[in-house]
Amino acid sequence: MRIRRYETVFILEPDIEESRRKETLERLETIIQKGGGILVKRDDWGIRKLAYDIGRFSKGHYFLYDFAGPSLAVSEVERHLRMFEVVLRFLTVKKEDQVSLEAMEKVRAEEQEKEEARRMALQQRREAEAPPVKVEEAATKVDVEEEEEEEEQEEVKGEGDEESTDAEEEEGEDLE
Amino acid sequence: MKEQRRKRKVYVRKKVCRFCADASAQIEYKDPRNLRYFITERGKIIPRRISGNCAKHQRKITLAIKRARHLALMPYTNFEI
Repeated sequence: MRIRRYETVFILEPDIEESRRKETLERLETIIQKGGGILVKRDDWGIRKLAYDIGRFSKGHYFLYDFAGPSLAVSEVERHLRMFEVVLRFLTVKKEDQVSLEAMEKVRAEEQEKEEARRMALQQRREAEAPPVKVEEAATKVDVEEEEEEEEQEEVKGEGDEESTDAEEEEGEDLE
Repeated sequence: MKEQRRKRKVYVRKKVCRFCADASAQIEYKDPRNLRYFITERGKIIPRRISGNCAKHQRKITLAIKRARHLALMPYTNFEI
């Protein structure tokens, strides 16, 4: 069976619960695997404004799945995307006409490494940005220290959700 | 008269396809910011004779714009202007 590399972009409704979104994504991933393909890269573009309204939505949550597999995997993925009610739009594009699953495994490992490095860099930058905030907020030092502890706890988890840390930083700014 | 004609000649000068000139420039449907240059304010695709693209790259741009439109990254039409 010929293995090709595809790229699917799809838009989910922006206001669905986290659990439902996760479930949809997980189901898609298992569909790719069942169809004999592997997921190379998963990209979350976040919630974006749509260029035009789709149904009652003016915003959408964009996702990009980069995967390799036989054509059967694509038809299965598209069939399910059509069935999911939370999917507003989808588009699949062929990226490479012939690849091997082994090579794609390697690419996936590289992508994961890159992702890891990117996350580390982001974390380091956050840590570098933290000290000036401390100086400015000398008056509310106790509060700052408390917040830092919270942040450290998240870092220990490793998989610390980016969004939640963002929200905490914003809170810190509000205190100033 | 002579001078006018010469000026006109300069104006009509053939434009060079920007994608042929710069091989590093990618045409990507996922990047609407770069594609925006090739649509009018109303959202119509600018023809080759105006944009100066070569046939090969105009085809790619057209395809990319149409894909971006389907994904609501770019407008089909824009009535606001």
